[in-house]
Amino acid sequence: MEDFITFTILGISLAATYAVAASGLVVTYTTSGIFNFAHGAIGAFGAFAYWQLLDWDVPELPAVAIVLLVVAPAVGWLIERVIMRGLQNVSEVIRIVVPIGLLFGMIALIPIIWDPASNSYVVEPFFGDSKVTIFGAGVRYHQLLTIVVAGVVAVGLRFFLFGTRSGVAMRAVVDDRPLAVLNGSRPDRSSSLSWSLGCSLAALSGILVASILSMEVVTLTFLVVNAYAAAVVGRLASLPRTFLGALILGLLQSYAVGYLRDNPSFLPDDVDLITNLRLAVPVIMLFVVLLAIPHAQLRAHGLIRSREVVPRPDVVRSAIGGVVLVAVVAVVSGFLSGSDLLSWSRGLALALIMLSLVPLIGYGGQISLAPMTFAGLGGFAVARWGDGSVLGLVAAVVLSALVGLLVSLPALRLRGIYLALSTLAFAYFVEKVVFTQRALFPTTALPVERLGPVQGDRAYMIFLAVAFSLVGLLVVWIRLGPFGRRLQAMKDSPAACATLGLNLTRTKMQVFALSAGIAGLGGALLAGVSENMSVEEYFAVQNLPVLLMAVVGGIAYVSGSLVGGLLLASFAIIGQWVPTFEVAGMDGQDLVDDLLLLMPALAGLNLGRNPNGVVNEVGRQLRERRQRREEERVEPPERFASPTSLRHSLDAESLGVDRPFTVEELAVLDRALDLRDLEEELSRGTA
Amino acid sequence: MALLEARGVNVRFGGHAAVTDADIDVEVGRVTGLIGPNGAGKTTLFNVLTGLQPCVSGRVSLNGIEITGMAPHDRAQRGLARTFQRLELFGSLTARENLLVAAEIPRRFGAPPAGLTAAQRVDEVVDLVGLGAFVDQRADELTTGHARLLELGRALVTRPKVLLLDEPASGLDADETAYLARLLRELADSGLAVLLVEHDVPLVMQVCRRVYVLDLGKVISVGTPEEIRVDQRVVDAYLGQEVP
Amino acid sequence: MSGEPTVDAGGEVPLIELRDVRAAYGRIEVLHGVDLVVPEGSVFALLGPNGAGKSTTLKVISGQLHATAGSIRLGGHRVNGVSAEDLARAGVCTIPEGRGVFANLTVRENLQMMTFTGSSLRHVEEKAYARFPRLKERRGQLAGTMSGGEQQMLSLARGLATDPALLLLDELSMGLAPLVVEELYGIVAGIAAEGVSILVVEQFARTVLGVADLAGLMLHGRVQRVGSPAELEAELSSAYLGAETGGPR
Ligand SMILES: Nc1ncnc2c1ncn2[C@@H]1O[C@H](COP(=O)(O)OP(=O)(O)OP(=O)(O)O)[C@@H](O)[C@H]1O
Ligand SMILES: Nc1ncnc2c1ncn2[C@@H]1O[C@H](COP(=O)(O)OP(=O)(O)OP(=O)(O)O)[C@@H](O)[C@H]1O
Ligand SMILES: [Mg+2]
Ligand SMILES: [Mg+2]
Repeated sequence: MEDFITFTILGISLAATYAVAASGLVVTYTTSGIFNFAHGAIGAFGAFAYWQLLDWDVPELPAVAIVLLVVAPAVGWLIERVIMRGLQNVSEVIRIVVPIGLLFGMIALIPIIWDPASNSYVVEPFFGDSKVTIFGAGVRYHQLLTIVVAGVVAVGLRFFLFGTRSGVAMRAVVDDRPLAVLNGSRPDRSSSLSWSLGCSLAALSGILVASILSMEVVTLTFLVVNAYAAAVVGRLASLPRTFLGALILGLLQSYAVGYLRDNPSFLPDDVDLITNLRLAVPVIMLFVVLLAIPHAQLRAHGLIRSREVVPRPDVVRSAIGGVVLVAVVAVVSGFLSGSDLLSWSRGLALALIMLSLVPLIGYGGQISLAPMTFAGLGGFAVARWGDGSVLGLVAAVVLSALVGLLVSLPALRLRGIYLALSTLAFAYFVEKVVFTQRALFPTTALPVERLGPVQGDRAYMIFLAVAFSLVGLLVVWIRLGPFGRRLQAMKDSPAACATLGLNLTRTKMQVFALSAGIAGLGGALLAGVSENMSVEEYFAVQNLPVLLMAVVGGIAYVSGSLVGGLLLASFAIIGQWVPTFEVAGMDGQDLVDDLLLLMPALAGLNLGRNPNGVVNEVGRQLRERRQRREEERVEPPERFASPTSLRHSLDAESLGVDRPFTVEELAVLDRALDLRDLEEELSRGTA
Repeated sequence: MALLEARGVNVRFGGHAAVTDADIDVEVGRVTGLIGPNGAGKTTLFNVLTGLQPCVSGRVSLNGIEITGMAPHDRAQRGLARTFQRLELFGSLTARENLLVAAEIPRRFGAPPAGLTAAQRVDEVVDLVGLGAFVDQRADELTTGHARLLELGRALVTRPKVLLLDEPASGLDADETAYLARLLRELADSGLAVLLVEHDVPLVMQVCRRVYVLDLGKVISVGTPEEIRVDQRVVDAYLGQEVP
Repeated sequence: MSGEPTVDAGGEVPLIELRDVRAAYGRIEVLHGVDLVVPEGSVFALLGPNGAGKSTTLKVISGQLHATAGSIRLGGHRVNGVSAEDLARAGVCTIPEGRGVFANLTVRENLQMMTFTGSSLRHVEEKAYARFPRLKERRGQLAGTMSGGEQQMLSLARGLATDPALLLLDELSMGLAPLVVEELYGIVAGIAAEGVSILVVEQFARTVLGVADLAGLMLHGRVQRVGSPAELEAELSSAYLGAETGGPR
């Protein structure tokens, strides 16, 4: 009995921590329409700032005040100003990915400011270690304080969001920004305020948690992953229910730790369920809650305008592009040294995994945060059943596709962020329960045999290029056919699709299975690169950079995946090129690594300006350039007629390059075709 | 027996009764009107008929087969098609692609007419609704009028037996409305059953053979346009004095 | 650029004056030189077919879209480039076409959003509920779940309750029952009687012409003709509205 009370009290104080974190999430979501994956990282930033102030001998209370009222709001203001304000009329996936970029930015930034090597960062709990005894269990004052704070925050926020005009205005801005303008409210100010508030709440939870857990960025960041479960109980909108969710979660976790001690005796020795399940409690809860959320009625929502561009690829050009890719890889791979060869091969395999997201997210608008997890299943299959035969790849595709079908079941009832979170929950579940089973993974790296005829590293890289081109072609072909159109239509209006006779359930299951199958193939080939399937590579967190870079490249483009995959691989490669150096007592290599971590973040943060990805942006600029030139060239002199028309046909894609030209390449082309001269001639003519 | 029948339909939102004991018959070869003040429950009734809104009680049958509990796509497969009061186009697709999507959905009942591909059926409908000049424009860039015609076309391309139109003339200009009126009559003559919700009373009076009037969720009057026009309850609840 | 604001015979500055205004969406120009003068205290009806640029003209006046050329004067002040928020706070009330409500806010919260221009919530609620008792019954309902017509009423409530100097109405009658349209234009006439200048955009002429002092016909991005309602009605019903169903809603 005493145990029970102790566990209950522990659970409640854990719940209070989750509640504070989750309410911050809910506030940013309801007032900005953005689910802030970086919430925990911002909390960590707040905690470090707090530590810094204490280190400068600022007393506790003023330090808390400065962090919550000055530092955190300033960070929030900056985030809104620089990053989030651009995110109007962008698709859901962009709104999910940009905070992921921010997350990586924060993870990279914090160790640069507070070097983990140079200090041990510890903050004492409030009131030190003093305790009261409640029902025989000792409870720290800090824990009680956390509970009280959670309650105050709950009541205060509810009043603010629903009782005050500023709160109403924030929600109105999410709903319809132009209309808010017409009402005379100031949407920009509302958004700034909402981000400031959200960051303050993040910092508050960071400070409260920092003394309980260690002050480590990644720990604090992923604490919030658990809070997601609580936030989702409140459907990201209702604060009271969020608190209920936090309570259930805290208690469940506490009881799980307290009572689930031993594996059932009927399990074989190397199968461990209990430890894993304990770790997975929040994730299981998230999954169950998402499934229990009542099926949203299909509702007509009217026509939505977005800045999204819908690509209409071309089979012939894409085929030529594929051939060019293989040719380029065949040539370039000859000049690469051993480790670079492997790194770029990794890039190609990652590109293939990202390609799995093109039909799913790019066409169908079904957001998945689990591509690497499916890839992991593929990797596992090829390690298990591969033996160098093609059957291994088949097994990888089939296993992933089947699991994909399973995961699509919640997808049938969920949309947008809920769907994304449920796939992330699936990823964590697989990481905690499957990837750590000794029965399946006796070591953390399973040996993998490459496909029979492609043993050498160079041959394997070319093989990867061939595989990417073929699957890319398949994806393009799907886009151009009825299924691709249907996916695109389903993204725009599920209600209209249903009333036209389309079975949404079946369509979603099909696209999930397709996507998972491609990811499984990619994962199997990725495992072949290092001839090792190492589980860490497929952990849940790894999904985030993969999705991020896929979107940066262009989520609706096959070539976007290629760009994304190569970019992701290139960060590691650049890291090796930079020579190690010492900066003011810091380890240079670390600094370089940190700065490199910033690169995906920066790429992600630019998405607000350019939501359709690198590939589209380059294409657009090329088109505009051409258009401008054509406009300048109102009446070209007779003799220039032929190069002009030649230039016209030199659109990137018409040369069969799946990747548009860089500006430099264009300059080269222009020189080759004497267009520079033409331009000069023309400008002289008009002057 | 009418092609589409609703009997005793009730819908409640919280304490508010949006539709109460509504009986509706939609018959082949004619346009049936459904009019009533704002908030009378017309769109809600449409949602019940097409399966987007479950009803507390009541039955809906199509062609003698009960479809009350069926999913929206099953009903569509059996020949029910609709348009939406607030446009519900596939905004990022072109007008032609909007039609193609609808044409390409496999039909379980009633095979497509021999020899016509999806693309050919689309062309047919493009001519029928007069969208020729706009087929390659993105749907979210169309003017309201063209968008309405496109939605009508998208419903037609599925070769429905019953067509439910929710305010198809709202946002159309005079020429387009006149065109729509002609089109509706032609469609009815060719054997389609049409249920039309409209606030454009002259249009309703002109094309409908039978008109239901809904007020506060109840059917308060049924009859020919001539009968409706002089029904005092309808004049008080909906038409007002000045309408011809 | 155009010079001094026009001053009419009575020495009054017109409330709206557009001179050769051009506007574009991206690279596509939609307004090709609009000239429009709305005298203070009048009701001006802007008519025209689909895609003529009527809504775009309203967007330019309300600051939602900036003109690429020409001058826009409100009450004699040049307002090119002034933001929509500032114009709204200065008393320009725009009721946009279609959905003019916050779908995920309740009716009452929608009314609360109308208080940014200076009225108190009490005042807004009183005026709105007095005109539309239906809104009072539904004040706790999410605006997005109301019927199309109820939403339209809610969005017009802003024009009533915030005491604007200039009211811009885009297709007020769309989707409304004939009785309600009649009633609403009765209300519009009432607002005008209080001295508010009103610019109404409609596709159908007769209902508006009953309350309008002046009317203009817009075609292909230009205002083609301006005249008294009586003049225009005769012209319109024969030429442009002559179709078989043309008529009031
Ligand atoms: N989801 C909902 N929750 C609560 N009330 C609703 C909901 N949907 C509709 N209503 C209410 O039900 C009533 C009927 O609405 P409906 O949309 O069917 O009206 P309508 O006849 O189509 O009107 P209109 O001509 O204005 O479009 C309205 O009063 C509306 O507010
Ligand atoms: N957001 C937009 N982006 C691109 N083009 C647009 C946009 N809005 C309108 N247009 C185009 O501008 C032109 C004029 O549109 P506008 O909405 O001003 O017409 P309107 O006279 O109000 O017509 P309606 O009666 O249909 O409301 C149309 O050709 C339309 O396609
Ligand atoms: Mg309706
Ligand atoms: Mg308009």
